[in-house]
Amino acid sequence: MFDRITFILGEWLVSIRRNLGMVLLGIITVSVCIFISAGLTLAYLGILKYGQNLTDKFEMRVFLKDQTSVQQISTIAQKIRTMDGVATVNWIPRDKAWAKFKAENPEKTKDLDNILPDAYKVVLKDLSKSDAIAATIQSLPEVEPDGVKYLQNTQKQVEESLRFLKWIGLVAGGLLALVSGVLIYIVVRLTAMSRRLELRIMSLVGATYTTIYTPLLLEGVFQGLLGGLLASLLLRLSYGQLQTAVQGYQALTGMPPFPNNQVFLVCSCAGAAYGLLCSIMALMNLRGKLR
Amino acid sequence: MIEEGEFVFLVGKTGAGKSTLLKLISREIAPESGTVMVDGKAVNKQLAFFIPNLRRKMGIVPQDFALLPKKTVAENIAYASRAAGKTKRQTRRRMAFILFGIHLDHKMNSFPDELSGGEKQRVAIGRALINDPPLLLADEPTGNLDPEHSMEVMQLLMNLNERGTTVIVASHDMMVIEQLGKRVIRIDDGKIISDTKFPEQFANPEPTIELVENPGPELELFTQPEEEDSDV
Repeated sequence: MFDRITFILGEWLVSIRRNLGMVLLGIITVSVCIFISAGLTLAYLGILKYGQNLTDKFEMRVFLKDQTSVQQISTIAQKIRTMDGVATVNWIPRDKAWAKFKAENPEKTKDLDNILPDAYKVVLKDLSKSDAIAATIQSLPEVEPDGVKYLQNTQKQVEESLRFLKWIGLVAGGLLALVSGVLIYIVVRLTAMSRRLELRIMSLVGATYTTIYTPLLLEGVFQGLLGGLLASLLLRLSYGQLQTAVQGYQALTGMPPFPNNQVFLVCSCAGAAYGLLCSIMALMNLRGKLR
Repeated sequence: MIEEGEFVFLVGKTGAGKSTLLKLISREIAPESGTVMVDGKAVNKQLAFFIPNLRRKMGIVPQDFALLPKKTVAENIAYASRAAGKTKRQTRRRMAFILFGIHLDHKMNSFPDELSGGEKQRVAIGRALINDPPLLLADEPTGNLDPEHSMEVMQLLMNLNERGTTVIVASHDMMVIEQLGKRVIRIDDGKIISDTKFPEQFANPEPTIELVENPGPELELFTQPEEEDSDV
């Protein structure tokens, strides 16, 4: 068994040496592809997490019509609490709100009566449901027309960023995946063609398909795996640079630590699996020709 | 039908189907119709997965030698041996025997470029022997050789045959064939036109042995039971 493995590995090394330039090109393309795809995925997850974290700070203000009774206020609050995506609902009595506002703006409120309505502070659990929640609350008869105020723009920006990243990830990642796949395919084909004589001899003397094709499959896996590892390393470096840059802005909260293990594992496995897939495709219609 | 231990020449002009017949036997190609039987098994009906196993039971000597130019004689044979699944130890043991058998033990460290045509062909034969096969298929083994080297190679094949190996040689080298006096199957346009024992009946175009109708218990290389003629 060990003898067989050493023979196959030896053949694999010969294959690598035969088209070293193309192999390196394949590795670089795979690494750029994985770097961009994984980088965009990390950014996507980061923004998604940021959106979810906004929930705690994300308040929705609901202003009620004048003459809404305390009983009605309590019933409506109860209704809003049962809505999907709502975390908490707190009543802000108009007198309390006015007292606070007066304290904060004594000059502006001088000689004025209470102009504020009763209101709720609604905290959301799920940012993505804010539009639906706002529409439902707005439809309640006790709520003033245009009486639901929330940071719609922030939420929209987050959603748009996520959508943009998803599309750019799909387009750029897809195109690069295609290019790197074609490169791996070509490299494996070239190697097989340049080793035609060896493959023919192996075929003539009854070498098993495992012995003949494993070195070529390993070549694809090697390119994918090394590309994945290189991409992980690039991501780690880029993330470190970004963390340093972010520290300079006090307005921004610090970035979470780089998920080393997960990124290395996912990128390497994805690269290796992709390399294997491309080399299998390269060898599929080659088998008949080499027989 | 070719029986175990026989030495058979496949003769015919270029494009007659000699090499095709050898490729059918070694399952490099599959027939459009009919059946190719080797050792009682229909090789063309075997799954591709079992082809390597079939090839280990036969030695194949290609027309172009197919030697690796950057490997020595010993390395060429060792490479094939290792590819066929032999361990390093098994390869070392068999190597000496093969090199001695093909009379190239003194040139084991020479590269193919340093060998004559006959010597290259002997290396190719040596490589075909790594699995100690009961059947040897040689495609034009003397095609590129002068008469002296041709006889040298043929003598080697004869020696193997005397030790029990069934040998099938595709050739159009009539001079060599005449000298050896072995069974000759003539092929033209993919059909067997005669099957004779040289030299007595070679001139007779009528077949003396029916390839289709002789169901011997021995090694049955090819039959076409479903067809009247002997298409290959």
